[in-house]
Amino acid sequence: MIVKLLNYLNLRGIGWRIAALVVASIFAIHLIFAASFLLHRPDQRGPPTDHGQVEMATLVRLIDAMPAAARPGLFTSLARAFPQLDIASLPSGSAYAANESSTFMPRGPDYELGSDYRVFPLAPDGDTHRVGIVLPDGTILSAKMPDQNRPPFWNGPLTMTLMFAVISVTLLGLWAARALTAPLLSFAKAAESFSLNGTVAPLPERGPEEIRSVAKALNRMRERITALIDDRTKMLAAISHDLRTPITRMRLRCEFIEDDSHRGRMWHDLDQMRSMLDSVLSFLRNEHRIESMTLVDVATSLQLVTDQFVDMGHKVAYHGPEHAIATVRPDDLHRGITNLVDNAVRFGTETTIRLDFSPDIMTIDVEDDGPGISDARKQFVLEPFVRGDDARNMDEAVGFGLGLSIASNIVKAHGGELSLRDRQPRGLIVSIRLPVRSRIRPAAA
Amino acid sequence: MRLWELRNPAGARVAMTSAEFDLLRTFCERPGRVLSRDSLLDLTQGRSTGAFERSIDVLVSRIRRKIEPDPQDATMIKTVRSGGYMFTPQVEAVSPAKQNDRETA
Repeated sequence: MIVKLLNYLNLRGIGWRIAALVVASIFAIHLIFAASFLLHRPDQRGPPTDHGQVEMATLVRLIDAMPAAARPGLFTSLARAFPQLDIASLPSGSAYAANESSTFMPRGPDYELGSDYRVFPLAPDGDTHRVGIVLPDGTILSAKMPDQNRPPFWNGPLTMTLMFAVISVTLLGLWAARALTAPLLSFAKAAESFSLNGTVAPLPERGPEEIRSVAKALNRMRERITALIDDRTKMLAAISHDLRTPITRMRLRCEFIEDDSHRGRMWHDLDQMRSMLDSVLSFLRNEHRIESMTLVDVATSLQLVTDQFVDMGHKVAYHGPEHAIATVRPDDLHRGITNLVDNAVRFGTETTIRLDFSPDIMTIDVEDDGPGISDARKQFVLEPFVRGDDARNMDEAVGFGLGLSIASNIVKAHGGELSLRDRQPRGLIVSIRLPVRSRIRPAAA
Repeated sequence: MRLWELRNPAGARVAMTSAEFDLLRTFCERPGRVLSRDSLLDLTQGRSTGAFERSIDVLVSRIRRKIEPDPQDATMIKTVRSGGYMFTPQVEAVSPAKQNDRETA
C-alpha cells in the first residue's frame, strides 16, 4: 500500500523515498502531539487530574484574606465542608524550624499558591502526609496533603505520547531500513548462488529506481555471461569432437610404422589424447544432457564397476548388500563411480567400494590406500581441470582433472553430495550420499 | 544406444556387461539343456571376443550374484558335474512391445 502510494507520488528514487518517509513520520508525530495536547489541555483539568490541590490553594487564600478574628469560625465551617483537607491552624513557630531541612517538598500546593506562601512537609502521621503552610502574615496552617498518590509515571499523557512516538519512529525506521536493504541482500545472495546451469531465476526488478536498475544490470550481466560461457562450451565441445577424427586417422597410420617400440608409444599417446577428449566431452555433455531416472539395482552397478576393474588387473573389491534398489540415472552413476575407481586405482594399490544402504539414503564409499589428498587441496580437487597433485601428475597425465568434478556433478544432479575424507592409516575415501527414492516406479520400461 | 537390459521382478535395472548378457541370453535360448563350457564359448564368441579371455566360470558366478536369490546355492544356473551348466527356469518369449520381468533382447 505504501509502495503504491510512493509510486503514485512518483517518488521512485531511494532519496525521495527516505525524504517522504521522514516527512510522513514527523507529520505523524506532530499529529500525535497535537491530539494529546488537545485531549489533556490544562484548562480542562477535572477532579481526577488536580487531586484537590486547587481546592486547597483556594481555601488557603480565603483564610489569608480573612481577618484573624473571623478565622476560628471559618475553620469550623471548612472542617464541615472539606473534611478531607482537615485544615487547622498551628501555633506559630512549632515544627516549622524542625522540618526546614527536609528535602521532601510536596509538589502541587506551592505551585498553585505562588511564592507568597511557603509550604513545607510535616512529620507524617501514620499514612497521611500533612503539610504546613506559612501565610504571608506569618500564620501557620496545617492541612492534610490531598491525595498523595500521584498517577504512576507511565500513565502521564506526556510520557505516553513520548513513548508512543519513540516506538513508532523506531519501528518506522526499522521498516524503512529493511525495505531498502532487503533487495540489496537478495542481490548479494543471487550473486553468490550464480551458476551456469540456468536454474536460478532472474532477480525481481522492483523496488526503488536505483535498486531496479541494479537488478536490471545484474540480470543483463548474467545473460551475457551465460551466453559467453555457452559459446565457449560449444566451441570446446566442437574442437574436442572434431579432434577425434584425426586421432583415429593417426591411429590407422600408426600401423605403417615399422619400429615396434615407436608404434607402441605412438599408440599410447594417441590413446591418452583420445581419453582426454572423451573426458572433456563427457564433462560438457553432463552439463547439458540429463538422463532419465529409473529404478536400478545399484548393488549390481557397483559389482559391474568392480568386475570391470578386476578384469583390467586392478585390485578392487565390493563390500555391501547383493541387491539395493534405488531410483538413479544408471549410466551417469556408472560413469561417476568409474571415474572415482579410476582415480583410486591410479593412486593406490587396493580399492574398496562400499555400499551402505538404508531406506532413505545410501552411501557409496570408494576407498583407496594411496597418498590421499591434503585438507588444503580437498576443496579444490572437485573443481574441473584441477588435479590432485599438479607437479607429480604433469608427466603421466591421463586426463584433464575432470574425473572428480564429473562425478561430483553427477551426484549433485541426483540431489546427493560428494565429500572427501581421509582414510586411516593412509589413503582417501570419496563418499557419496544419495537419496534412495525407491518408491518411484519407472515410466513404461 | 542400449538395445538390451535386464530388469528384476521389481522393475529395477540390473547392471551387466555385454559379455554377461550374451551368456545369459545363450542360457535363456536353451533352457533345460546342459551346456558345456566349450559350447558356451562357441555360442557367445560371436560378439565381444576380447571379453572372453577369462573363463566362463567367472561370468557365471557374476551372473549368479546378480540374478540368483542365493548365489551360494544356485538354483537358476545349475552346475552339472563334469558337464557344464544348465539354465533351469521356464522361459517365455514376449513381444517387444510387452516386456516381462526377465529379459529382452
